[in-house]
Amino acid sequence: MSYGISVQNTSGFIQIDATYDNVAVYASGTMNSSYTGGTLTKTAIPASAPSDYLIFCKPNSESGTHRLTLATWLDGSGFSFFNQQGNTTVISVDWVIAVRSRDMPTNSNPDFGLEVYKLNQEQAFSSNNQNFRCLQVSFDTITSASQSEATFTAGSLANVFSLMSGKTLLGRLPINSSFSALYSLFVEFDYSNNTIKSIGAPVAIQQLPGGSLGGGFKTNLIGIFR
Amino acid sequence: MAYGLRLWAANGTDIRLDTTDREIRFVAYYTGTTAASATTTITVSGMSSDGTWGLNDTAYSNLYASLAIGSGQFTHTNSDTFHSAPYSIQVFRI
Repeated sequence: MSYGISVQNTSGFIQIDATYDNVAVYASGTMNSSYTGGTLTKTAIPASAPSDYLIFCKPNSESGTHRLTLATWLDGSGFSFFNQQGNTTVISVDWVIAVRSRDMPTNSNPDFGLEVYKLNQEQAFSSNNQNFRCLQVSFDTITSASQSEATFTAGSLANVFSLMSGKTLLGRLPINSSFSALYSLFVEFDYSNNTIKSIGAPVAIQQLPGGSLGGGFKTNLIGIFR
Repeated sequence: MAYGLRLWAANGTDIRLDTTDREIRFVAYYTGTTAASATTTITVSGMSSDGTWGLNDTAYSNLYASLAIGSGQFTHTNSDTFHSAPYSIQVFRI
Protein backbone atom coordinates (compact mmCIF):
# COMPACT_ATOMS: atom_id res chain seq x y z
CA MET A 1 0.00 0.00 0.00
CA SER A 2 1.57 3.26 -1.08
CA TYR A 3 -0.79 5.49 0.90
CA GLY A 4 -4.11 5.42 2.76
CA ILE A 5 -5.08 3.51 5.89
CA SER A 6 -4.68 -0.01 7.21
CA VAL A 7 -6.07 -0.91 10.62
CA GLN A 8 -5.19 -4.22 12.28
CA ASN A 9 -6.69 -5.84 15.33
CA THR A 10 -4.58 -7.05 18.22
CA SER A 11 -4.11 -10.42 16.50
CA GLY A 12 -2.80 -8.86 13.32
CA PHE A 13 -5.91 -9.33 11.18
CA ILE A 14 -6.72 -6.33 8.98
CA GLN A 15 -10.01 -4.68 9.95
CA ILE A 16 -10.12 -1.76 7.56
CA ASP A 17 -8.11 -0.77 4.53
CA ALA A 18 -8.70 1.17 1.37
CA THR A 19 -8.63 -1.96 -0.80
CA TYR A 20 -11.59 -4.13 0.23
CA ASP A 21 -15.15 -3.31 1.29
CA ASN A 22 -16.39 -3.79 4.84
CA VAL A 23 -19.82 -5.37 5.20
CA ALA A 24 -22.76 -3.55 6.82
CA VAL A 25 -26.43 -4.05 7.64
CA TYR A 26 -28.61 -3.10 4.66
CA ALA A 27 -31.91 -4.48 5.92
CA SER A 28 -33.05 -6.51 8.89
CA GLY A 29 -36.21 -7.94 10.40
CA THR A 30 -37.93 -10.91 11.98
CA MET A 31 -39.94 -13.62 10.24
CA ASN A 32 -41.33 -17.08 10.90
CA SER A 33 -39.53 -20.24 9.91
CA SER A 34 -41.18 -22.59 7.42
CA TYR A 35 -41.34 -26.34 7.02
CA THR A 36 -42.16 -28.60 4.12
CA GLY A 37 -45.92 -29.02 3.97
CA GLY A 38 -46.59 -26.07 6.28
CA THR A 39 -47.20 -22.38 5.81
CA LEU A 40 -44.48 -20.81 3.69
CA THR A 41 -43.14 -17.51 5.01
CA LYS A 42 -41.21 -15.44 2.51
CA THR A 43 -39.35 -12.17 3.01
CA ALA A 44 -38.82 -10.06 -0.08
CA ILE A 45 -35.36 -8.87 -1.04
CA PRO A 46 -35.48 -5.05 -1.30
CA ALA A 47 -35.67 -4.09 -4.97
CA SER A 48 -32.75 -1.72 -4.54
CA ALA A 49 -30.45 -4.33 -3.02
CA PRO A 50 -27.31 -5.25 -4.96
CA SER A 51 -27.04 -8.81 -6.25
CA ASP A 52 -24.07 -9.75 -4.08
CA TYR A 53 -25.73 -9.47 -0.67
CA LEU A 54 -25.16 -11.86 2.24
CA ILE A 55 -27.95 -13.27 4.41
CA PHE A 56 -27.44 -13.92 8.13
CA CYS A 57 -29.88 -15.17 10.74
CA LYS A 58 -30.39 -16.33 14.31
CA PRO A 59 -33.41 -17.56 16.26
CA ASN A 60 -35.24 -14.65 17.86
CA SER A 61 -35.61 -16.50 21.14
CA GLU A 62 -32.13 -17.47 22.24
CA SER A 63 -33.00 -20.72 23.99
CA GLY A 64 -33.24 -24.39 23.08
CA THR A 65 -31.80 -25.94 19.93
CA HIS A 66 -32.90 -24.98 16.42
CA ARG A 67 -31.80 -26.05 12.95
CA LEU A 68 -32.42 -23.68 10.05
CA THR A 69 -31.50 -23.67 6.37
CA LEU A 70 -31.88 -20.88 3.85
CA ALA A 71 -34.00 -21.17 0.72
CA THR A 72 -33.96 -18.44 -1.91
CA TRP A 73 -36.44 -17.87 -4.71
CA LEU A 74 -35.24 -18.77 -8.20
CA ASP A 75 -36.17 -15.28 -9.41
CA GLY A 76 -34.18 -13.69 -6.58
CA SER A 77 -37.27 -12.03 -5.15
CA GLY A 78 -37.06 -13.36 -1.61
CA PHE A 79 -35.97 -15.95 0.89
CA SER A 80 -37.25 -18.30 3.59
CA PHE A 81 -35.79 -20.27 6.45
CA PHE A 82 -36.76 -23.95 6.65
CA ASN A 83 -36.81 -26.35 9.59
CA GLN A 84 -35.41 -29.83 9.28
CA GLN A 85 -37.83 -32.36 7.77
CA GLY A 86 -40.34 -33.49 10.39
CA ASN A 87 -39.98 -30.44 12.63
CA THR A 88 -43.29 -28.58 12.40
CA THR A 89 -42.53 -26.06 15.15
CA VAL A 90 -42.52 -22.58 13.65
CA ILE A 91 -40.03 -20.26 15.31
CA SER A 92 -39.36 -16.56 14.98
CA VAL A 93 -36.12 -15.84 13.11
CA ASP A 94 -34.09 -12.62 13.10
CA TRP A 95 -32.48 -11.95 9.73
CA VAL A 96 -30.00 -9.49 8.28
CA ILE A 97 -29.17 -8.65 4.68
CA ALA A 98 -25.60 -7.33 4.60
CA VAL A 99 -23.93 -5.55 1.70
CA ARG A 100 -20.69 -3.81 0.89
CA SER A 101 -20.25 -0.40 2.44
CA ARG A 102 -20.28 1.17 -1.05
CA ASP A 103 -23.81 -0.18 -1.61
CA MET A 104 -25.29 1.26 1.56
CA PRO A 105 -27.99 3.91 1.09
CA THR A 106 -26.79 7.47 1.27
CA ASN A 107 -26.65 8.57 4.88
CA SER A 108 -28.55 11.84 5.00
CA ASN A 109 -27.79 12.36 8.65
CA PRO A 110 -24.16 11.41 9.32
CA ASP A 111 -22.87 12.16 12.78
CA PHE A 112 -19.16 11.63 13.36
CA GLY A 113 -16.60 8.89 13.28
CA LEU A 114 -14.54 7.44 10.46
CA GLU A 115 -15.17 6.99 6.74
CA VAL A 116 -12.64 5.27 4.50
CA TYR A 117 -12.73 5.42 0.72
CA LYS A 118 -10.97 3.36 -1.92
CA LEU A 119 -8.90 4.78 -4.74
CA ASN A 120 -11.95 4.60 -7.03
CA GLN A 121 -13.89 6.81 -4.58
CA GLU A 122 -16.14 3.99 -3.40
CA GLN A 123 -16.70 3.82 0.33
CA ALA A 124 -14.86 0.96 2.04
CA PHE A 125 -15.93 1.63 5.62
CA SER A 126 -18.17 3.94 7.61
CA SER A 127 -18.60 3.97 11.37
CA ASN A 128 -22.16 5.18 10.75
CA ASN A 129 -22.95 1.64 9.58
CA GLN A 130 -23.56 -1.44 11.68
CA ASN A 131 -20.62 -3.52 10.50
CA PHE A 132 -20.15 -7.26 10.90
CA ARG A 133 -17.77 -8.32 13.66
CA CYS A 134 -16.60 -11.88 12.96
CA LEU A 135 -16.34 -14.11 16.00
CA GLN A 136 -15.31 -17.39 14.38
CA VAL A 137 -14.83 -18.79 10.89
CA SER A 138 -14.26 -22.25 9.46
CA PHE A 139 -14.29 -23.92 6.06
CA ASP A 140 -15.91 -27.24 5.22
CA THR A 141 -15.68 -29.51 2.24
CA ILE A 142 -18.83 -31.58 2.35
CA THR A 143 -18.47 -35.19 1.27
CA SER A 144 -21.33 -36.78 3.21
CA ALA A 145 -24.92 -35.61 3.48
CA SER A 146 -25.04 -36.22 7.21
CA GLN A 147 -21.53 -35.26 8.23
CA SER A 148 -21.22 -32.92 11.21
CA GLU A 149 -19.05 -29.94 10.45
CA ALA A 150 -16.86 -27.79 12.67
CA THR A 151 -18.55 -26.59 15.86
CA PHE A 152 -18.26 -23.02 17.07
CA THR A 153 -18.33 -22.61 20.85
CA ALA A 154 -18.77 -19.19 22.42
CA GLY A 155 -19.07 -17.91 25.95
CA SER A 156 -22.40 -16.41 24.97
CA LEU A 157 -24.52 -16.62 21.84
CA ALA A 158 -26.38 -13.39 22.61
CA ASN A 159 -27.04 -11.55 19.35
CA VAL A 160 -24.76 -13.92 17.43
CA PHE A 161 -25.76 -14.39 13.79
CA SER A 162 -24.65 -17.10 11.38
CA LEU A 163 -23.99 -16.68 7.66
CA MET A 164 -26.77 -18.57 5.88
CA SER A 165 -26.18 -17.82 2.20
CA GLY A 166 -23.81 -19.94 0.17
CA LYS A 167 -23.95 -23.71 -0.07
CA THR A 168 -27.32 -25.08 1.01
CA LEU A 169 -28.67 -28.02 -1.00
CA LEU A 170 -26.39 -31.05 -0.79
CA GLY A 171 -28.19 -33.67 -2.81
CA ARG A 172 -30.90 -36.30 -2.78
CA LEU A 173 -30.40 -39.70 -1.19
CA PRO A 174 -32.67 -42.75 -1.39
CA ILE A 175 -34.82 -43.80 1.56
CA ASN A 176 -36.36 -46.84 -0.10
CA SER A 177 -37.29 -47.96 -3.59
CA SER A 178 -39.91 -45.19 -3.96
CA PHE A 179 -38.82 -42.25 -1.82
CA SER A 180 -35.75 -40.12 -1.35
CA ALA A 181 -34.73 -37.30 0.99
CA LEU A 182 -33.56 -33.91 -0.19
CA TYR A 183 -30.60 -32.92 2.00
CA SER A 184 -29.59 -29.38 2.83
CA LEU A 185 -26.90 -27.80 4.94
CA PHE A 186 -28.45 -26.55 8.18
CA VAL A 187 -27.06 -24.29 10.87
CA GLU A 188 -27.74 -25.63 14.35
CA PHE A 189 -28.04 -23.05 17.13
CA ASP A 190 -27.67 -24.83 20.49
CA TYR A 191 -28.23 -22.29 23.25
CA SER A 192 -27.92 -24.89 26.01
CA ASN A 193 -24.31 -25.59 25.09
CA ASN A 194 -23.51 -22.24 23.45
CA THR A 195 -22.57 -23.89 20.16
CA ILE A 196 -23.31 -23.22 16.52
CA LYS A 197 -22.49 -25.74 13.81
CA SER A 198 -23.35 -26.68 10.26
CA ILE A 199 -24.87 -30.07 9.68
CA GLY A 200 -26.41 -31.85 6.73
CA ALA A 201 -29.98 -33.01 7.27
CA PRO A 202 -33.12 -33.73 5.23
CA VAL A 203 -35.34 -30.77 4.39
CA ALA A 204 -37.98 -32.67 2.40
CA ILE A 205 -39.08 -36.16 1.39
CA GLN A 206 -39.84 -36.74 -2.26
CA GLN A 207 -41.58 -39.55 -4.06
CA LEU A 208 -38.60 -40.05 -6.29
CA PRO A 209 -36.32 -43.10 -6.24
CA GLY A 210 -32.55 -42.92 -6.18
CA GLY A 211 -30.52 -39.76 -6.00
CA SER A 212 -26.93 -38.76 -5.29
CA LEU A 213 -24.89 -36.41 -3.14
CA GLY A 214 -23.68 -33.15 -4.63
CA GLY A 215 -21.45 -32.10 -1.78
CA GLY A 216 -19.60 -28.81 -1.99
CA PHE A 217 -17.75 -26.11 -0.09
CA LYS A 218 -19.03 -23.89 2.70
CA THR A 219 -17.60 -20.92 4.56
CA ASN A 220 -19.03 -21.01 8.09
CA LEU A 221 -19.12 -17.62 9.73
CA ILE A 222 -20.63 -16.34 12.96
CA GLY A 223 -20.53 -12.87 14.43
CA ILE A 224 -22.30 -9.78 15.66
CA PHE A 225 -23.55 -6.69 13.87
CA ARG A 226 -22.77 -3.48 15.70
CA MET B 1 -5.65 -0.87 25.08
CA ALA B 2 -2.27 -1.75 23.70
CA TYR B 3 -2.81 -0.29 20.26
CA GLY B 4 -5.33 -0.15 17.45
CA LEU B 5 -8.51 1.76 16.66
CA ARG B 6 -11.71 2.03 18.67
CA LEU B 7 -14.73 3.78 17.17
CA TRP B 8 -17.91 4.75 18.99
CA ALA B 9 -21.38 5.38 17.65
CA ALA B 10 -22.87 8.85 18.03
CA ASN B 11 -24.35 7.98 21.40
CA GLY B 12 -20.85 7.72 22.80
CA THR B 13 -21.60 4.36 24.38
CA ASP B 14 -21.90 1.77 21.62
CA ILE B 15 -18.57 0.65 20.23
CA ARG B 16 -18.70 0.27 16.46
CA LEU B 17 -15.16 -1.03 16.10
CA ASP B 18 -12.84 -2.34 18.76
CA THR B 19 -9.23 -3.37 18.76
CA THR B 20 -10.02 -7.08 19.02
CA ASP B 21 -12.71 -7.17 16.32
CA ARG B 22 -12.21 -9.27 13.21
CA GLU B 23 -14.09 -7.73 10.30
CA ILE B 24 -15.10 -9.39 7.05
CA ARG B 25 -14.30 -7.46 3.90
CA PHE B 26 -15.72 -8.03 0.46
CA VAL B 27 -13.13 -8.62 -2.27
CA ALA B 28 -15.01 -9.49 -5.46
CA TYR B 29 -18.08 -11.08 -6.99
CA TYR B 30 -17.85 -13.47 -9.93
CA THR B 31 -20.66 -14.85 -12.07
CA GLY B 32 -20.49 -17.33 -14.92
CA THR B 33 -21.17 -20.92 -15.89
CA THR B 34 -19.11 -24.09 -15.64
CA ALA B 35 -19.83 -26.79 -18.20
CA ALA B 36 -20.83 -30.32 -17.23
CA SER B 37 -17.91 -32.33 -15.78
CA ALA B 38 -15.65 -29.30 -15.98
CA THR B 39 -13.72 -26.91 -13.75
CA THR B 40 -13.50 -23.14 -14.01
CA THR B 41 -10.40 -21.46 -12.57
CA ILE B 42 -10.68 -17.84 -11.46
CA THR B 43 -7.59 -15.79 -10.66
CA VAL B 44 -7.67 -13.66 -7.50
CA SER B 45 -4.57 -11.69 -6.66
CA GLY B 46 -3.09 -12.68 -3.31
CA MET B 47 -5.54 -15.49 -2.55
CA SER B 48 -4.24 -18.32 -0.42
CA SER B 49 -5.50 -21.05 1.90
CA ASP B 50 -4.24 -19.24 4.99
CA GLY B 51 -7.71 -19.09 6.58
CA THR B 52 -8.35 -15.43 5.81
CA TRP B 53 -10.12 -15.98 2.47
CA GLY B 54 -13.74 -17.04 2.20
CA LEU B 55 -15.90 -18.16 -0.71
CA ASN B 56 -19.68 -18.20 -0.97
CA ASP B 57 -21.53 -19.60 -4.00
CA THR B 58 -25.09 -18.27 -3.95
CA ALA B 59 -26.20 -19.73 -7.29
CA TYR B 60 -29.46 -21.63 -6.89
CA SER B 61 -28.16 -24.50 -9.00
CA ASN B 62 -25.00 -25.25 -7.02
CA LEU B 63 -26.12 -28.73 -6.00
CA TYR B 64 -23.26 -30.51 -7.79
CA ALA B 65 -20.78 -27.66 -7.67
CA SER B 66 -17.84 -27.32 -5.33
CA LEU B 67 -15.24 -24.66 -4.64
CA ALA B 68 -11.58 -24.94 -3.70
CA ILE B 69 -9.21 -22.19 -2.60
CA GLY B 70 -5.75 -22.27 -4.13
CA SER B 71 -2.75 -20.02 -4.43
CA GLY B 72 -3.72 -16.90 -6.36
CA GLN B 73 -6.88 -18.56 -7.59
CA PHE B 74 -9.91 -20.66 -6.77
CA THR B 75 -11.76 -23.32 -8.72
CA HIS B 76 -15.43 -24.04 -9.35
CA THR B 77 -15.91 -27.71 -10.20
CA ASN B 78 -19.15 -29.08 -11.62
CA SER B 79 -19.52 -32.81 -11.02
CA ASP B 80 -22.85 -33.02 -12.86
CA THR B 81 -22.16 -35.04 -16.01
CA PHE B 82 -25.23 -33.76 -17.86
CA HIS B 83 -25.91 -30.14 -16.90
CA SER B 84 -23.84 -26.97 -16.76
CA ALA B 85 -23.69 -25.10 -13.43
CA PRO B 86 -24.06 -21.31 -13.17
CA TYR B 87 -22.10 -19.72 -10.35
CA SER B 88 -22.41 -16.50 -8.34
CA ILE B 89 -19.39 -16.45 -6.09
CA GLN B 90 -18.60 -13.93 -3.40
CA VAL B 91 -14.96 -13.67 -2.37
CA PHE B 92 -14.15 -12.07 0.96
CA ARG B 93 -11.35 -11.63 3.49
CA ILE B 94 -11.91 -12.47 7.13
